[in-house]
Amino acid sequence: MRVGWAWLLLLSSLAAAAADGRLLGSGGLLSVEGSAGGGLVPWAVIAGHSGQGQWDALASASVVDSGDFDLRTGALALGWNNRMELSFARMSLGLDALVQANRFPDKRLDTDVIGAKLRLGGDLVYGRAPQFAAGLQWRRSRDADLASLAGADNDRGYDVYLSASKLWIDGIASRRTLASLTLRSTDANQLGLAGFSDQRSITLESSLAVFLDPNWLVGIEYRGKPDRLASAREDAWSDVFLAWLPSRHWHLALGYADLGSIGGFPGQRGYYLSVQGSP
Amino acid sequence: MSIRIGLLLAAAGGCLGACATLPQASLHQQLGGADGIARLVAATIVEVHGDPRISELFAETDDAYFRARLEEFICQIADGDCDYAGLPMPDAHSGMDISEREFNYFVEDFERAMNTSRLPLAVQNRLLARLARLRDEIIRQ
Repeated sequence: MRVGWAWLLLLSSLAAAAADGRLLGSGGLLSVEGSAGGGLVPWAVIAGHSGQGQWDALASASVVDSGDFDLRTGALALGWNNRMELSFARMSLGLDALVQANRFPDKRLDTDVIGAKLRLGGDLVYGRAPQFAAGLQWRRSRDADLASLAGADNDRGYDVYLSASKLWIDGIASRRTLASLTLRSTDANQLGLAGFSDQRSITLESSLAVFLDPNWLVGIEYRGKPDRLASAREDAWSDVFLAWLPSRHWHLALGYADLGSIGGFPGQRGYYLSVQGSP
Repeated sequence: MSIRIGLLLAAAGGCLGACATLPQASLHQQLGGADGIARLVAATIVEVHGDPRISELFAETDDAYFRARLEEFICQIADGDCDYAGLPMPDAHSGMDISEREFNYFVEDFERAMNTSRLPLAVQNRLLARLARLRDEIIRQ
C-alpha cells in the first residue's frame, strides 16, 4: 500500500524505546480496519506491547482475495500506556467481478477508517476479570459517487463498540487461550466500502484463539454484519487463521476467510494474508 | 451459518466462564520434583541477574536465601510436600514498588528459565498460571 511503510519511520521516532511492557502477542494484530484484534474483529487489547509509560507504533498491510473481489488494507496504529490506541486504515476493495460484468466503472472502492480505543479496565492476562475496552471508528468513503451507485444513504459514518477479551495462560490443552466478544453499533454497509445507511444496526463479533506455543497462534473469528442494502445482500464474515509472532517487531498471519455475498456475488471465500511491523 | 455462530459463541462464552483443565499428575511431579525445581530456580536467578531491566531489583538479594525460599514456594504452589518458610508475598516485596512492567520482565525471564530447564510448554503454562494469580500481591507493594 502507498500508506504504510514510509510512515513507519516517522512513527518509530515517536516510539522512543521499543515497547516491551507486555507479553508477546498481547496486542493482537491490526485488523482489516486498523483496530487491534484478530484479522476481522477488534479485541479489547491495545495495539502493540506498550506497558506503563510506553508508546508503541505499528504498521500493517493485509489482503483478502476471493478471486471476484480483493480487499487490501494499509493500517497504522499507536498504542500508549496499555491504555489508549489510535489507528488509521485505508481499505481498498477491488471489484473485478462487477467490472467484468460491466456493472461498475473500472475503479477500486476506497474507505478510510480512523479508530480510537480506550481500555476501560481489567487485564487481558492477570486477574479473573476480562479486559474491557470501548472503541470508536469514524469511516469515510473516498469514492462517495460509486458507493451511492450501490444505493447507500451516506458517504460517512461511525461505529461504536464494546469489547471484552480474556487470555488464560493455562487454557485449552494447557495452551494460552484467548476469547473475545465485541458488541458493535454500526451504520456501515460492508465496513463502509458500500457506503453508509441512515439506520444503525447492532452486531456481535467473537474470536477464539490458542497459542500453540508463544510464537504461533491459531484462531477462528466471526463478525456479524448488517444487511440493509436492497441492491446486494450482505453476509456475516468469518475466518480461520494462523499467525506467526517471531518477535514483538514482526507478526505474520495467514488465514482463510468467508466473506459471504458481495455485490450480488455469493460465496466469496479466499486467502487472507497480513504482515505487521513495529520498531 | 446460525449453527456456526452458535458454536463459536458457545466456545467463546463457555471459555469466558471458566477454561477448566482436566485432572492430571501433580504439577510438582511434572516439574521434575525437588531436583527439577532446584534447576528451574537456579536458572531463574541467572536470568534475572542478567536482565538489565530488572537486575537492580535483585542487586542486594541474598541469593542463597532467595533460592531456598523460591524453591519452597514453587514446591508448595505446585502441590509438593513443602512448607514455604518465607514472608507472605506482599511483605516479601514490600518497599520494592515493583511495576506491572517489571513484573512482566520477570515473567519473561522466568519463561526463559523454564525453557532452559526444558520443561514442556503445558507444564510451563500450568505453573505460570498459578504464579500469575499472585501478581496483585507482588506489584506496587
